Amino acid sequence: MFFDLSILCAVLALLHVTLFIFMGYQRLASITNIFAVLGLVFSSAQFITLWQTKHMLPFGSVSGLFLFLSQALMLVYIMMYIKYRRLTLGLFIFPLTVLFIMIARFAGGIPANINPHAAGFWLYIHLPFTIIGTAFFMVSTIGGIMYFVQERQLKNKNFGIIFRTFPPLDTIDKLINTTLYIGFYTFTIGLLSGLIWMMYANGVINIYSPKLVFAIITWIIYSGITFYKQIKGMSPKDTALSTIVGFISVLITYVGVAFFVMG
Amino acid sequence: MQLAVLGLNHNTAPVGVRETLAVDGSELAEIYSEIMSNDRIYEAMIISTCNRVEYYIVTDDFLCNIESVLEIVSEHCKMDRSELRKYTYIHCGEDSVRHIFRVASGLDSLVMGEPQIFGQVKDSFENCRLYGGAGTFLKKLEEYTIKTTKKVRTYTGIGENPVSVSYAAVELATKIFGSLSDKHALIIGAGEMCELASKHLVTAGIGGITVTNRTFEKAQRLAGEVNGSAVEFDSFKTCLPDSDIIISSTGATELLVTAADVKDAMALRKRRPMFFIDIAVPRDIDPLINELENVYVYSIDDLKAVVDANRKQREKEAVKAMEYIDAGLAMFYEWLESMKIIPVIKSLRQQFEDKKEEELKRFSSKFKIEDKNELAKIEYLVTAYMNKVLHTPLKNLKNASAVKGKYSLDEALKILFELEDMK
Repeated sequence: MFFDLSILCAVLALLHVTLFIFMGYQRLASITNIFAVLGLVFSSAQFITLWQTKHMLPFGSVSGLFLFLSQALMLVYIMMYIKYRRLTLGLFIFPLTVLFIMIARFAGGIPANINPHAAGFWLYIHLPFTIIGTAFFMVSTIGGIMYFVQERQLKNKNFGIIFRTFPPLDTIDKLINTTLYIGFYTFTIGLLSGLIWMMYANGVINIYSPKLVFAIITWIIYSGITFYKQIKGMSPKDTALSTIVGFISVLITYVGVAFFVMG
Repeated sequence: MQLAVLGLNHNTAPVGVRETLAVDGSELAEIYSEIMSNDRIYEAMIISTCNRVEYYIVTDDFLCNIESVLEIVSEHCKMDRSELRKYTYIHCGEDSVRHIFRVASGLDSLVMGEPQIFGQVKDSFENCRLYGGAGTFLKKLEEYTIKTTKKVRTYTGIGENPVSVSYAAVELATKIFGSLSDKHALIIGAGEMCELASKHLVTAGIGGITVTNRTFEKAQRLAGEVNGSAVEFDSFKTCLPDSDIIISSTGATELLVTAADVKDAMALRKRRPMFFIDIAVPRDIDPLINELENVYVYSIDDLKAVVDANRKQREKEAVKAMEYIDAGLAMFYEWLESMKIIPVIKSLRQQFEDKKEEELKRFSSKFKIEDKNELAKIEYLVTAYMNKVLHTPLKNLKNASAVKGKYSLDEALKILFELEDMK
């Protein structure tokens, strides 16, 4: 039931944010956020119920992973809304949330039985942190795209609906920085705990594992971006570009490894 | 009773006529007393701003009484009545209430959506109370005007999107920088446009302002007005690396800032964005600067395009605003309908009071009760009983009066006394 309710809330949040952008009624903004919070509450309730009844988290299945990713995106949206008060972000995040939650639905929903290989303390640290880190990277990439779109509007002097509803460039830049740094630290914890889990599970760290190689490449790219920003400084436009480059490596890690390398 | 308005505004009268009809604060008392001396005008209010003069009256015959107001106005401004009629408009009933809601929300203003008019309407209501023009109707109208205007301004974008060039420039700056509190502006020139833009920047909370001008004293004067600093015209380019917003409006015939100047400045400021606003004709800022990364250049024509787009957006918002105004109007008329029942309620109560007095007199003489304490106790009992009996029907009468329904007598009794069916 909670699963279906969270789907409904994500769809309604998407509907209301779209109406808000195109119709401009302020009341729709609060309704959107109510649905976003409810969506997060229902999907969290789904996880809590699963833990209470079966003492497991659904990370052993594709559906469980996608469900958690959609939940993480909703969480990041709420956090960023509290900090920056920008509803436009929802216009990009909610379609992804709906997409991931629908993938989870069509991939079989919540698994009935526990996968013994997908349980354990370090895995329960590794996967949530990696997924939440990925969600932050996704939102920073969304910020990057928004930056380029808004920057084009300002350069070309287009004063349409996008120009009016998108946040100022400076706010987008701050949002990118926040999500980039939090994503990097969260992803780092996820990567380290993944290494520990691999060591416990296999007795050794297999450095030739394609997943590990790509994850380390992703980490190196993001650490390069964050350290360069810290030490040398980066213009907002370059930061926006770097988030897109960084996210391509995340996509290669997930999609590339899953479909091409693993066969 | 209904509301009627006689007025003129920027659409109906030229500025000369508006000036003649404008009511000064010192004249208010006299005009209010003249209007209120008409027995058929129960309440009155005057709104007088630079773009409109309006006389609102609460009356039962608006045609005759608006004529008397017209006469007072024509005497006051020494203008012939037929001449005055050419410039004025008259609304009555729902139209006049809708009109004041539109006026207070800025929908009827010269610059649509401007916020000052709301304050001016509130002041007018205050004056009307002060000079004895306000009664139940106008007090309630004030309440509904404030409520409706607040809704319009909160839930629609009627006040967003600036429609003046200098304000649009500052608004564009916030679209790039967000908060301006940690940003620095360089103003090249000290003319009227620069002064206006600087003041808008200060209102928007700019971190600091530097002013430069060929005549250094003028730069110093403007800098003093906006709490900024002045710099010699020959050395203003040294300020470029520290300036986020550059506004230029001078009479120079050659370009004052070139792409090469900005390239050097950008290297020093680690390519943080810069925003150039060129209000000068001919231009002071090289338009090629816009080709540079993280630099945005807006000329006077670009700003006018922004203003035009914003004006169209406000027109769209005005359609939404009308929905809130119509809702406010419906609520106000619901209240007005409920007021119609008040005389009936008063008369019913009076009838009960009279009967009570009559019965008390009869009772005391019949039973020869002369003790005043004893009589007071009996009166207390009868009054309490009467109030209890009347409470439910009067409450229901008031609540149901706005609902226009036809009931049979037994249905009406059931509704009034909340009677249940007896088996």
